[in-house]
Amino acid sequence: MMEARKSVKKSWYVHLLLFTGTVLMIFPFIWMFLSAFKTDLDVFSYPPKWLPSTWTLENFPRVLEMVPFVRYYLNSIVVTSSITFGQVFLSILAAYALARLHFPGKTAVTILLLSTMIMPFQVTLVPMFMIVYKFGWIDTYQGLIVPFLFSGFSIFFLRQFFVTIPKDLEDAAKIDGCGYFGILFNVIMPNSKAPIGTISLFVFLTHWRSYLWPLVVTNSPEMRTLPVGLKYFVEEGGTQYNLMMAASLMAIIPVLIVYIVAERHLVKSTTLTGLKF
Amino acid sequence: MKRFLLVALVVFLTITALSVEIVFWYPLSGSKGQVFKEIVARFEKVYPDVKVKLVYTGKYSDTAQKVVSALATKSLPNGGIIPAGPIFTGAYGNYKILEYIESDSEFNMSDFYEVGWDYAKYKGRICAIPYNISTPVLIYNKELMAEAGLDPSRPPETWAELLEYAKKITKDLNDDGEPDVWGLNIKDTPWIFKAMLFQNDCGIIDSNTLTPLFDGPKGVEAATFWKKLVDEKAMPVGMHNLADKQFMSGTLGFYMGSSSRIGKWSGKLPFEVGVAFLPKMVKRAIPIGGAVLVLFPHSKAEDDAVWKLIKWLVSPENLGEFCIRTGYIPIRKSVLEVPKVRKFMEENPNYRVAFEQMKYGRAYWHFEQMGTMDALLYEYLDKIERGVLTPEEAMKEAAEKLRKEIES
Repeated sequence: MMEARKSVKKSWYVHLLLFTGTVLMIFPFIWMFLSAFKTDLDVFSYPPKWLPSTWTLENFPRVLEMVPFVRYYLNSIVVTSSITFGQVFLSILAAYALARLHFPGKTAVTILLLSTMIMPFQVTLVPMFMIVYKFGWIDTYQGLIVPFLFSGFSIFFLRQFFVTIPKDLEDAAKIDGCGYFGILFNVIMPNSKAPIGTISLFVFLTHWRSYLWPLVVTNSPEMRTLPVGLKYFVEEGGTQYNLMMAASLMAIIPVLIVYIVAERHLVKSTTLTGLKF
Repeated sequence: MKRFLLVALVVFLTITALSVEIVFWYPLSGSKGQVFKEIVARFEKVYPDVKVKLVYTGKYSDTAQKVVSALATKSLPNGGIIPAGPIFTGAYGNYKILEYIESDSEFNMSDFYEVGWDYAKYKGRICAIPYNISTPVLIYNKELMAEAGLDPSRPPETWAELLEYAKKITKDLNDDGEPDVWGLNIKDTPWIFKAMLFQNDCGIIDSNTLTPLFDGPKGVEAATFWKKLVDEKAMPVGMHNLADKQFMSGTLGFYMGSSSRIGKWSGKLPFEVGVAFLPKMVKRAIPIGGAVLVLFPHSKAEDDAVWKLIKWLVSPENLGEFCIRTGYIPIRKSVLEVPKVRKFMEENPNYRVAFEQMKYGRAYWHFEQMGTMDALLYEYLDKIERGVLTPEEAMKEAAEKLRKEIES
């Protein structure tokens, strides 16, 4: 009993610190939520108003009228989940090969992989566009998805983890009659849930908010994704924040769901590997 | 009835057979984008034989990125509103639009401000048509002026007056040695500095030889004045990104920046906002900025359709409506005669200033290193403000770097 009280006493300042952190993190979300229900006048009022003077739902239909939001939404889901699934799957295969198999030119391949990570996206944009154009993939789902199925970062990230899995586990599986794929699916992958979860989350978030490539490679509204739609509310002379926030609120919900589901893995794996991003 | 149906069918078929589809890119977002879409939708009603496929291309820099990619693969649209348009047309030998301008007797070139044409030239030849143009204006807080003992109905006319007034407005409220209310701030420093250069009768770049001209005595004079603004605490060092916020929160006397702020601030802030011409040095001059209409040649039928659309967009009535609703500045004189525009200017005197200022507009022909030049001016103005370099050294070094960039 004494012990418990002592620890409560000791921890109040820790909680105060955590509480402050929470407020700082949550503030933009609350601001977004409240602004989404404000009128044009309210959102620009000075000094800023916390609560809308009249709660309006009008922003949501206005957003839907200005951009085909539902279509953008579906596209974002299709594109982002295809990229996430495809890229993570291919990266697992490649990472396993680089971590465990012996083949000629392995070092060269690894160095090439690493070198793709130092190249900024803007440098590869035009050449990549030319390739996609040659394939006739402008304004298609392929054009949005295929270029991102490969990622040096994802492969390298997983490889670093696969290397640490004890070789004995593999040997045991081999004795039980497993081939390469058997080992990968039955030994490596079940032991790597945390890094796979982390990289999936990372890929998902990166491509959910990807803007420049979808803008450049698509032309018709039927093929465009959410970030392109959100940017439509940013204007040269001043952004319509109430509309932008209403759109952001609608856009953020799936990300929140994915985050809540994968959060456990994310926290575990960053503490395990000491990696940060 | 049967006959009527038959006629209707024939008409319908001819229209479909003769109709062309054109792809048109535009970088206007939000309410501005909506206005543009409406004007184009009306065009399609009037010309049912032209189908316009509008493609939103993001902000100016994204649009440029998209055009670069399309140029590399020869997959350009039929036309569009393109920032730095001449660099993507004239620079590639595309002066098609000039042929249309010259051969179409209905098109009255002289109705456009001369400066607009300068803004649409590459190597001295027209290769675009100015469209969504803004100019910098002086926006001021009338309350702060009155508090400083100045007459709010008489904004500064010259830079010397601006310096004097701004110094009076700058105030340190809590005695920590750092002013809390500033007299003057400028968001887009290269743009306003170029205004000062023009106003000091200093060229920016020689259009024919592409030699930077701002490192001469007149340019150094302007740069020295810039330094004076900072030294005498009329304007803060750095902190230019905060200019908008300072003005909105009532802690800035004079703001110099895009005319697009007029609609955003007039009547919407808790103090009275005034708008005036930019002050002059030896003369009045206003650099213009924005994007232009371009045509990328395809088939004759498609090009004709694009020309039709462009003419529709710049017709005085449509352009007037576009400017009233977006806050851009009309680039045709006759727009000011449109009854709707006249009424608007009477009701919104602050806009009148921006619209009328256009006659002092100045521009230089487009060249590839324009962006580099602005980045250099930004960097070197900062060095002047912080005292890293003297105004003279800074102008010399910036011009030298630009010269090297152009030569390479």
